[in-house]
Amino acid sequence: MAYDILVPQLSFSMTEGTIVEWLAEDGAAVTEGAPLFSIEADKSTVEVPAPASGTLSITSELNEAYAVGTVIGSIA
Amino acid sequence: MTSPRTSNAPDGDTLVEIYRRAQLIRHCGEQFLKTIRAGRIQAPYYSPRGQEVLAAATMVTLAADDYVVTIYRGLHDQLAKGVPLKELWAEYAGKASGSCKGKGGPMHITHPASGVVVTTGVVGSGIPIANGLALASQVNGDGKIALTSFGDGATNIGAFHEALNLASVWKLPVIFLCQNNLYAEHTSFANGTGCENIAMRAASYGMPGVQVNGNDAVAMYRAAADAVARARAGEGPTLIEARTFRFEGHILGDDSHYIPKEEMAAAIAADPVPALRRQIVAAGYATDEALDAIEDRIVADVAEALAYAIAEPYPDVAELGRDVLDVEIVP
Ligand SMILES: Cc1ncc(C[n+]2csc(CCOP(=O)(O)OP(=O)(O)O)c2C)c(N)n1
Ligand SMILES: [Mg+2]
Repeated sequence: MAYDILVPQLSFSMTEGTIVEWLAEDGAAVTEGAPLFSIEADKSTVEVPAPASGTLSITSELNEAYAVGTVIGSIA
Repeated sequence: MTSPRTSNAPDGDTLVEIYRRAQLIRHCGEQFLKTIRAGRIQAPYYSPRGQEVLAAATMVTLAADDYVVTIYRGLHDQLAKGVPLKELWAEYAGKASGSCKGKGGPMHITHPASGVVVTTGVVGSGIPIANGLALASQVNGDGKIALTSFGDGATNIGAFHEALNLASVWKLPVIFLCQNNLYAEHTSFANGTGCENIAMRAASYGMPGVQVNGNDAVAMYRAAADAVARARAGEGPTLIEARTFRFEGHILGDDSHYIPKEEMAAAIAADPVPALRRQIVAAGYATDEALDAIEDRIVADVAEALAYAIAEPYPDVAELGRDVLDVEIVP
């Protein structure tokens, strides 16, 4: 079953985040815990680790703001 | 002030129990971080990583019905005092089956059945509340004591000084536990506190002030047990300054850039949780296999609580007006 990648809430006031870089390519194998994407929110950029292991599928646009909780890809 | 007591060191079984609680806190914390980073739970998270042994060694000296008042960085205190995992996780996730029906969240964990009466986010505000609980015990003569846990920064708040003074005057059965992790948000202890240490502040209020290495299970246990004995004997309050360190920033998202790299590296190298495990095995109190079995159990219990918290429903909108005064009182 695919594991949805969600925009996490990484600070108190964060309501949306912008993916500024994927640290793995679409279709690549990713490992749980390894850096997966960089997200910018509240003027700071944070690397977020992969929540699961498997094949990455990116379903969102770079440099576009998404609300916390939005599905931005999946790992199958 | 009376002369300090000297409690015995914890026996082997107690040390293993301290380790079990410390490991529970550590694993639970790791899973919270992971779950929040995966977007499954939206919550502010103040990691107690590095302060686990301090809380575990302190809370084993309390009875189940003794009171604890803690702060936003309180996961270690809450778990060590016995807040059940499922209700705790559900509350973090804002679910209806949480310990506060999902309306308190991680910064306000309350679970009276395990003695955790209140968790506060306003720095210093829990200290007078513990006085109130201790006063109730004194008036009722029920033998319960109150322990309030707070940071180094909180000792620069007026409420700390007012509460210590009154507790001393009334000889309240209360323990003031300062978890001095050497930083208050981005401010180092030296930059924010005018005296050399926190323990010496007790002298102003005529109570014993004890400084202890909070990361040393035996030393922490003895200091806490001494304070518990004083409180139970009606001899009044104690201020404990337990030295410790936090490994993961003030709050999730804080990268600790204001902490010198060497200071952080030295603290992590002295990680109290694996150190306690080595100590237990070396003393022959438990085998590696027995400790592995304890950890396996923790992993399973936390996984169950996590799955439960995710699956449970959010509170009904009608809950917004329940448990609060939602009708204006007009004279
Ligand atoms: C009265 C008040 N002032 C300021 C804050 C903002 N604040 C939140 S945590 C914190 C630092 C407190 O540090 P410390 O007491 O050392 O506890 P620690 O976070 O290190 O465990 C501050 C200033 C607050 N919550 N309440
Ligand atoms: Mg502090």
